[in-house]
Amino acid sequence: MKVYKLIITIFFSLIFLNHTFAAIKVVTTLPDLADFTKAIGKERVEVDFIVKGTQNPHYIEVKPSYMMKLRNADVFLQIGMELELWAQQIIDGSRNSRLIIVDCSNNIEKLEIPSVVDASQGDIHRYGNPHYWLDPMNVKIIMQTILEALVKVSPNDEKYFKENMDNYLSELNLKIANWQKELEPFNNSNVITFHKSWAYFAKRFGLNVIDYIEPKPGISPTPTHALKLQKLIKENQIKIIIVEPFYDDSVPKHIAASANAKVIRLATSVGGVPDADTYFNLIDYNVKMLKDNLK
Amino acid sequence: MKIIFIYISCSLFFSFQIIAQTTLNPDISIIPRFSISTNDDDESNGHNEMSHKEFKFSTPVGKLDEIELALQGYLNPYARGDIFLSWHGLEGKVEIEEAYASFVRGLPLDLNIRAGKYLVEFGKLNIIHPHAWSFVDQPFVLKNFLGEEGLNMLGLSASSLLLTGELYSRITFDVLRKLPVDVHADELDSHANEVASIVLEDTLTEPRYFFSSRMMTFFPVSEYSDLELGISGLTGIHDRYYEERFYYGNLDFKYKWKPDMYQSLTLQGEWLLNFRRAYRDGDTTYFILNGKRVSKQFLSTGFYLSGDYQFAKRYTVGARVDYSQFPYNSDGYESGASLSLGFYPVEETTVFRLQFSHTKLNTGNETKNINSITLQFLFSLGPHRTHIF
Repeated sequence: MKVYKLIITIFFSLIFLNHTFAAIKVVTTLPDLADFTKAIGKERVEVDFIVKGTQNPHYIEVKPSYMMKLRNADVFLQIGMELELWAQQIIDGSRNSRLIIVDCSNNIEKLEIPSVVDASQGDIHRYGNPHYWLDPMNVKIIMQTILEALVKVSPNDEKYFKENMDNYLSELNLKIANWQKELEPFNNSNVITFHKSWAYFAKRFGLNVIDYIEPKPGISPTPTHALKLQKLIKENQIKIIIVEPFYDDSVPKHIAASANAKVIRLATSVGGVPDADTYFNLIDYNVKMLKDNLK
Repeated sequence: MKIIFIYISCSLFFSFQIIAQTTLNPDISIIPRFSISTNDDDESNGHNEMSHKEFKFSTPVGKLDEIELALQGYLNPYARGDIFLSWHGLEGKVEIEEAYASFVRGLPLDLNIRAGKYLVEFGKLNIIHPHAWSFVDQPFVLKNFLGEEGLNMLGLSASSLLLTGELYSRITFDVLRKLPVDVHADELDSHANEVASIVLEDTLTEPRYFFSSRMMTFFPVSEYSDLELGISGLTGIHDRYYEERFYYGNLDFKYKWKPDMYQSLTLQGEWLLNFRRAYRDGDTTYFILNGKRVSKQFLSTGFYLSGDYQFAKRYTVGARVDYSQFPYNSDGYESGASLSLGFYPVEETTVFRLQFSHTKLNTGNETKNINSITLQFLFSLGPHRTHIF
């Protein structure tokens, strides 16, 4: 009888231990959100993401393998604001009824909210420009949202998560001050970007995005538009055209060559370039590239 | 008192329904599909000389192939509703292409249930609407064995994920009901001279049930490429009068390599096998031996293999080879090859596709070669859910 009791006690203890120390499974759309989640949860979270830094997050094919990532996840974090229109099909396909879906754009001060929404404006987002994670100040808001989601799953770890987040944010504050200092000499510099990915970044670091390679968001450049840009670059003595890692740079290079400007690739997400393996390194890389090429 | 309570409850229920209807509209999209085509088929061009050798194409004919209207949205947190209406031709009547509800979460064993009228998951291409194909016409094997509208029936479908670790594997079962009106139309006419119509009608207007199943697995092959393999089966009574059953088997695959936004390669194919016994050739003619009706056994097959290569953001080239026998004729066959060029002027909302096809039709008694050229144009208005992989 005693043996039976012992076995039962061990059995339930093991279940309890397993439950207590099981990591929270989190899947994010972008690797940046995965980086923030890892910083908060450390070894108490298992984090995976869907979109590689080298992929355009607007156009992701709905694959069953993504559904498998969500199948056993506890939390799914998305950028929101209709950046990931493909995400709902992955959520449905995962058949995970207990999945907590979190929109990280909650509480973000949104830019470029359109007054008119129709396809004649190109691929615009009804709720504003969704590339808010590229402003490091917004990371504080994003991390607070992530913290609340993790605490919902594991309330006992709240203190641990909060400490980790505060440590990360302390470092982030120092980094932001440093990045702003480095780009201060280039305040009000005019730049052209391929897509409207840089609205939040440019606002934070004092860059003026005066036009785009795409005539409208998501629309490929036309010869007429290219000619207009060449003229604009010459008139405004623009030094750089910023291209995201996933866009073809042949048209920007052609425009730049004829107007004596340079094309630089900046990363929009962690993993977008080999040096950008964390969010801090991502902004470090972008700041360095701007500093080197705006001189 | 009880009546008043019921009345108030009903009023509240329906008022909430009205509020829900006015604030939550479904996604609405419309996809018109046009084509202009020409061919050198003597018969369809009004010439009956099979030996006519002159390489002469008919006057190109433009037509509206289809307008698809899709209404899609969530019914509640657990279920979706999808309705696809289609118009064929400028004066064509409206058809319900699909109308179904899908219960996507909250069911035991992570089951997904779908009920309504829908394109059945038999093979890979059958569930894909024609506007999303990378070619302008239906592969011969699917046209000959499933019909021009594909396998599209009233039914109930249940699917479940299989325990295959990190691999996505799914099995789907369908119970399908062939509409009595169809049974009446195609069977009654063919038997009208044989059996008293009143007796036949009583028998044949009973619904027929088909059973279908597909098992699929999805493999990531490399960082930029994926492979899906599927196996399907379908069975049902094809001749109600003689209670004869048919059996279809199907193997399918789809491979896609897409390293970036500007290039991709998609290879796709299906192989279908048909087995059935029949007393007639599926139309009206009975098989007669020594003055008696006899049954024949048919084992026929077919396949298609297609490739589509995106070589720039806006351009694709494609090729397809086809071979197909027929459900009631394993002597004849239809084979063909086609080449296509796709152009997407602005994103995927507008598509032009030019296709050259060569078709060889062998009826068992005679052979006919047809060349055709088709220019397809389609555009998409409104939010339309993308097809999975």
